Amino acid sequence: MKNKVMQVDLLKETERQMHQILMHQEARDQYADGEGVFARANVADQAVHDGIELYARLIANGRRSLFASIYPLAETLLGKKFDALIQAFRESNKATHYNFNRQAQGLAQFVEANKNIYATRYPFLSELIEYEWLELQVMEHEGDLPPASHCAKDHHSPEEYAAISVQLNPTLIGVDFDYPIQDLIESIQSGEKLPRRFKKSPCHMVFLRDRDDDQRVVQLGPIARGMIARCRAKTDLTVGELLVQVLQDRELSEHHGSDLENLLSIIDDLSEMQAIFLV
Amino acid sequence: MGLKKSAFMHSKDQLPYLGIGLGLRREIASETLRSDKIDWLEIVPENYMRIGGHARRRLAKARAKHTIVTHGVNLSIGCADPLDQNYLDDLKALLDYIDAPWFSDHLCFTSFESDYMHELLPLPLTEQAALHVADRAKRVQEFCNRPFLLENISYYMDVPGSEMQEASFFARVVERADCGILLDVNNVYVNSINLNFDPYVYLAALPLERVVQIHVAGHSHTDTHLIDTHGAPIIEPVFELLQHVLERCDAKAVMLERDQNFPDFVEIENELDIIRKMVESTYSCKTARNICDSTIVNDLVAPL
Ligand SMILES: [Fe+2]
Repeated sequence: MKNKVMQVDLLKETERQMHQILMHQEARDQYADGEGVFARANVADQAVHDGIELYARLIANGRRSLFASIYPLAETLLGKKFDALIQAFRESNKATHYNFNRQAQGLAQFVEANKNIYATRYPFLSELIEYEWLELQVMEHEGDLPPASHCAKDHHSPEEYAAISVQLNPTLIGVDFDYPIQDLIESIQSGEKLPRRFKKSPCHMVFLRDRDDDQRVVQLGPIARGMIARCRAKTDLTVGELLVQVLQDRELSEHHGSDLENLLSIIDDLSEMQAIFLV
Repeated sequence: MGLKKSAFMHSKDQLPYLGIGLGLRREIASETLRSDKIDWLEIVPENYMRIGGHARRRLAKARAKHTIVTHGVNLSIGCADPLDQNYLDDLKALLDYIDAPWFSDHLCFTSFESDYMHELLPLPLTEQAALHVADRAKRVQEFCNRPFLLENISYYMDVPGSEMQEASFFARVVERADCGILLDVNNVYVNSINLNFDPYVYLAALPLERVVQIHVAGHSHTDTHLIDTHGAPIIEPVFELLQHVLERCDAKAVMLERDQNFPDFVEIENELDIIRKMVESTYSCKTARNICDSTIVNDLVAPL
């Protein structure tokens, strides 16, 4: 038993060193001078050094193409600095999930936490990265949407309409942005030169996947956002209950003109964009 | 008197013969699902575990048409960490959903202390590493409740501290775990060039009776190595290895791996045709020989 533990420790030590050498440039530069399994004294074989270099390159290339596929706009914006960013991110963040794409999760938080290094030129960079991450998130979200045949049809009496259940799209993710993110994205996509200074202009965006498995990103006003929050808080809400709740919200009604007609048309819009389903 | 068959070898007898398969890849999924040259499909489970949307829809379509088996990349069977139970739960749910007759992963490690490196990394080839891997493989097979196969990886260096040949290590693991082999003949070829050994000697050291599935693929070159990219046509020496293996084992399924640099789908179908011809002609010869052998036995026993 003791021998087994010792040998697994040896296996673990070998794996620990390989992990260090392959994932950290600094460790790779220095491993030959170290003392462990991979020290040059132990490894006279050039093949091992070639192998280490090859594995490091394969891992870095795989990571690079993955991050570029998930964050194409950030890559366009940063050019060569994009590589340095993802290298730094990966060196200080483990990929704890088995899914390949998930190793790119958390880049926005990393940029935000290190904005004095990575976001001096583009203060909105973490928001742009978050936006691109959420586009992927909703596409892979495991939530199932109710099939179209389950949804309530038109032509209801007001009473029937009020009794219909409102179901939130399970893939929907709402986020507040400080910068006018969609305008910025359009500018990057069209290759426009971005201004030196960026004005903040807060907005609330929702990301979702629709029934055709297409992604939708929409900016919501305060009433629509309030409705989404209420649907999230109570899963079996009816249209009638939703209307009453919004009408009774003093802040919404005072500042945003929540008359019934307006509310009904917002419910229609949310339903149309598949943020909610009337079932 | 023959040796008693192991539990795995008994379960191999019950496995269906699947025929010629292809990996289900997003880029060629619609052609794959339309093709009549494909008998079964292999998926990378990590691309479908707890994932909705297009992936789930693609899987549902595939499942309606074909038998599917999984070929994982992140079980990290050789890792010194404890097995990741969340991973196993998600994998088992997927295997049950597709009703997979078996499942496989690679003889390697891909993570260390919960950090996935997303590369199939070689293990130190030691007796104790073999015991460690075998113990985990056994538990994985039991937990997932169906035959588990380990695949020989392509690797680009011998890990320092190794004390046995890869084939002996592989044999030790699968026999001790009582699991199956997914034999990748392209990997055998690539390793034989990169690490300078005779692929036929390698094959002779494996318990080929445990082979359930075979992978065939193409590879690429760098300055220093052949790389197992699955992004090029199969070369002749790899076909020769395939023929050699087919003659020596009773594989239930042979699969073409094509993961990148996709050609016209008709080229993939042509490769599938070549593989099919090889498999069917070899196996029909073998069947004929078996029938012939059993006739002789019957003749011999008849007078008694
Ligand atoms: Fe393979």
